Amino acid sequence: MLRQNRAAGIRYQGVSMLLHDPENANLLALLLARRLERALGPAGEPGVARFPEGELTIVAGEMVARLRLGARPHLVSGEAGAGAGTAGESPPGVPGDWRRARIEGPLDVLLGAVVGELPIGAVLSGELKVSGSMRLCWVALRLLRGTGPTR
Amino acid sequence: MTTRSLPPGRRADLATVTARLSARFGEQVSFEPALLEGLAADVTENPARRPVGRVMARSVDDVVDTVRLCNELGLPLTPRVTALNVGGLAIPAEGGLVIDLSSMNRVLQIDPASMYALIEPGVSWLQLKQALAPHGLVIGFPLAPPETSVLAGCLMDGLGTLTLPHGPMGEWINGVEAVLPTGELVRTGSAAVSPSWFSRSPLPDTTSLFVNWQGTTGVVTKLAVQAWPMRLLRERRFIMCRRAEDGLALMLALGKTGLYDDVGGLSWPISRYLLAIHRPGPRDPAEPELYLYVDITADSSAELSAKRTALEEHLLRARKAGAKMERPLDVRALVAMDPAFEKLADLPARLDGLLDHPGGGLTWVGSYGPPAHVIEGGRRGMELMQRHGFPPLLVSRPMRGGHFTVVRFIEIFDRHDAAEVQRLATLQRELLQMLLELGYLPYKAPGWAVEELLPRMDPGSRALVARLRATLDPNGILQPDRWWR
Repeated sequence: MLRQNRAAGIRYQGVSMLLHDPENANLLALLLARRLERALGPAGEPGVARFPEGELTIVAGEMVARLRLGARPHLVSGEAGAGAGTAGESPPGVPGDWRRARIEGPLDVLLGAVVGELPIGAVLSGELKVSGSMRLCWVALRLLRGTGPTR
Repeated sequence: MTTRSLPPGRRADLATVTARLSARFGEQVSFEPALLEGLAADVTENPARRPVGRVMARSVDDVVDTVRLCNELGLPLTPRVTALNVGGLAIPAEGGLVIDLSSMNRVLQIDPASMYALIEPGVSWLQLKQALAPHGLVIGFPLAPPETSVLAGCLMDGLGTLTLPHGPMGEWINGVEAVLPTGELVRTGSAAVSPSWFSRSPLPDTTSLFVNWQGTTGVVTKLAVQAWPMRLLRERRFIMCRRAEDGLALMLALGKTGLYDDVGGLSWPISRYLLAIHRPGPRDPAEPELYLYVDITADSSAELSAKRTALEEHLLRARKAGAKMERPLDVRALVAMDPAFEKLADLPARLDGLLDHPGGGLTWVGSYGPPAHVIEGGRRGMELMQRHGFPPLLVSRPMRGGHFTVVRFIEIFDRHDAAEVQRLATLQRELLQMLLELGYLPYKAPGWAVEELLPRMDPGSRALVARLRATLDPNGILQPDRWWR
């Protein structure tokens, strides 16, 4: 069951976003949805309309959120029961599968990326684990920082 | 003006009240039904009570004359500024008079050397912050809207940033000028003798006769409040804690170090309210349960670095003991992620998620008590809230160097849903009973909380309060149904 996110300003250039079950969404899903929402707003990123299609799993600490990008609308979900254990079983980053990706790391590192540089160092050191489509991962990290998707 | 009071408990008839008040105050007094309806209630679940009129005071003389007239007319009197105390304390007595002090809003003096400000009742937190800044001074802030009254917050002994190093706000007061219930003007603290309001010491401390008395002992018209030097560097860090117990234990440890301006814990529903999710479902068990925040200030980068290191070391010890916690996250990262979190970064701020929602209701059970029971109290309270169908929003912080702690449970609710209000009232009582059992005491106690408190009170202390009130207010004019007589 998908429900229209209640916040205003989530449609831009014909693109919109749905947050699955906002009342039960976890903090990570809420933050990602709000970020996407703002990227879709009038002052947002025009390139959002050109997000690559794919499913992205983000694991912060033990919280899991999923983004289905490029769908009409973009979908964000994340709620109880989607813990780290189960996250590993469903949409993992599969090498060669350019429609799926996964980013995993501590919440502070992921959120720290918002104000710092792109966390290349954290990726290289293994603190942030990325797998699957690098293009999707890149989009997600840039989305976190509010600098829009790849062009 | 002569004072010929009616016998206690008797009131003049409405025509006399209207005529006498109008003759003295003209356009400053209002009997407008819509206005009085608005004054009858606040945001809480406490029952509404309609006043007979409202005087808009502009001077100390206005306050003196209002109090004297109330004595003559047998009218209960309730002082008011913004009525956002969340204890129902500005709800007037039925048929009483409200004196609105919001127009008395001047910062009368700032003494940079003695570091205090002399203010009137209507001075807001934001106003005082802006007035102190050019002098290199700061004050602590409650989690209250910027327009609320500094004087009211201090007299109600509230909490906020800087109550960790300096104690609750009642301890920030150097002295007051007040109109006693019988109309005499008094000045307390050093300014009772000296031209300077530098301290409450070393005279007999009559200032405390006005702190935590909920306006029953006088209407305070001036207050000298302490300020502190503005540090050059400041940052607020958040630590996401998987279990509330671990977060609260770390909070207590950090509170005792003497290193930090503020340390506190907010449980997970606060993020939902800030993001305009007013009826959140259960927490994802994988999600942090408590957000611990730490305010660090310093005058040099070396000092800042040392304080950060100490924080990291405490965190490391907690993790080694099995606590699941993220590393400290600068609040700027949260704000960059979502501007809704700006309200957690720079106080005073209006937490609109708590105040501006469709149901319109906000209330809490707030308490001060022994640190030894903060973890048990926090957990039991959150469980009670969930059992009654309310998101478990807990706020806790150590006070005055960690000598005691705050445990506060906050609920938002639909004021027009009678069943929800009833459910809430039951929850509030259960929360308070649990806290009293653990040795915690309610602050800004509304009437129903006083009912719970009184049977447990030392009889001597109870009688002393009643005796002081009877002495100061023989006609029972000021806030007659607050505390007890």
